[in-house]
Amino acid sequence: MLPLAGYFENMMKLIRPSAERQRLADTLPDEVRGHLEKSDRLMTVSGAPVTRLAGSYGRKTGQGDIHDVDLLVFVDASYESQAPEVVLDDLADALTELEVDGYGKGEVKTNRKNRRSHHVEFKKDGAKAFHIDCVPVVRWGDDPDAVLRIPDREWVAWDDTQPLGYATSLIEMNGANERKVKRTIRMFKRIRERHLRHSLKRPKSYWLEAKLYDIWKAGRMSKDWSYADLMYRLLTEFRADCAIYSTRLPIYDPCLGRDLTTTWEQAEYDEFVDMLDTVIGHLDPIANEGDAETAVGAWQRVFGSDVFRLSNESQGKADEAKALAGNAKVTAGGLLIPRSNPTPGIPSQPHHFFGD
Amino acid sequence: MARRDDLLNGLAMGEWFRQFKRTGTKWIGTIQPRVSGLKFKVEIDTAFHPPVVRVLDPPLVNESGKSLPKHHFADRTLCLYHRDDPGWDRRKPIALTILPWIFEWCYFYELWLETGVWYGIEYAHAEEKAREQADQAGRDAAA
Repeated sequence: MLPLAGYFENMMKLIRPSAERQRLADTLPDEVRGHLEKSDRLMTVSGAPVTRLAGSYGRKTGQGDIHDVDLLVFVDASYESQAPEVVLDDLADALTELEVDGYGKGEVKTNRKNRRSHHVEFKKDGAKAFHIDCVPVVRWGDDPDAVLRIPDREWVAWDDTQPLGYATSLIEMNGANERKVKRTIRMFKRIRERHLRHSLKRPKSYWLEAKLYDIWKAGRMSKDWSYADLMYRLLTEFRADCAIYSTRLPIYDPCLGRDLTTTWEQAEYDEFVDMLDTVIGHLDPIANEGDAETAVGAWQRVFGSDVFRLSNESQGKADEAKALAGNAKVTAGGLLIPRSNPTPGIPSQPHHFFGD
Repeated sequence: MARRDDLLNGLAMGEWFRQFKRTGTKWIGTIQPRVSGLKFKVEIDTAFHPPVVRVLDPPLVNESGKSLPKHHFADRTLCLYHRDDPGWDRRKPIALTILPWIFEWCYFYELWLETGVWYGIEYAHAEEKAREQADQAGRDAAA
């Protein structure tokens, strides 16, 4: 498979959340912390960070400008002895009048259906709206990566979660694999974003991450492969795992080990599998090389020609290379330049690169 | 011994050869044909005729996968010229023939990685096969 590294590198820049949105997300924990410290409605922990960015922004695995920014709010452990409704009510009160620099005051929106958090919505003229999803969490002890306790989706009991433990493991795995793990996660999310209906709620972003993390962790990928090979292999490995199950694919939480996909409805799951088949179908013809034009066209059908394209810089380098073909010399400084360049150099003898 | 002398002569001819270090029949050095481009550690083994060239670092893409990079033999040596090319001759210094081609190979490889296009002048195996078939057909017709 042609590596097309220039296309992939450029796409990764284009699909990252905008610098403005990432900066905003990075400042939110402090803004929310400052606001909560002024409120007496919520009992927060003392001597520890009160808030922490979580979700795709926290792990830097998001693509595009994400609508929701997930924030953990560390609350006093005494809340766990009460129904989650108590802490959620206190949190809603405490978040009232929350203000974000440049956006003004937000509006707290509580949706009890299948949610563990409160939405605070911010709108600004000429800018995309965003939500802060504030999740109250209880942490026992001082381990920053410990299992946390959060309200369940029905607001009647407390559940385990370990988002920070997963984030730490992901950073380690990413570092050991030349930062390719997070990049492939972002690119996979781009495929989902482009090919699945927006109204489709599943698979959730975190499920995809968990599955891709699992595939990497199992040693089914290699940091030595090009992004083209990695993405093709991730898609085919994911699809192969789907084929093992007659119904929906179970995906397990990387830290807690529980099945995340129990709410994945069959019709939604089938649609996702169809998407995998469609995308793999675009790529199968170029799996064993082929010309650049065909390969680029196939990847553009996967990612979109708006993002899968060469940067102006790469295009400039390609133009320089065309001018050097059969017309190069090597300078004393060890650079390849066109013969027309006045700098002295040893001309390359006429020859043909041979072999496929 | 003549080939080694050629190489020594070649090494004396330009600053860019000075860094090449010899161990036995192998000459190893690092080149960077593009400003801010990739650095390639290459090995020229003069025990063979013509010399055999390998890129030692960075690992070439797909080496661990199924396919090889462009213009690369299965034994990981570079395909720098075609046998009909007039450029290679054992009487010519390697520094004037093989080395500039290595610079070109590395330059075009870097661009091939980025764009999927090999911008150097090439002679693909498919063309060779087509030419051989045409030659054979000509011979058959003459017979």
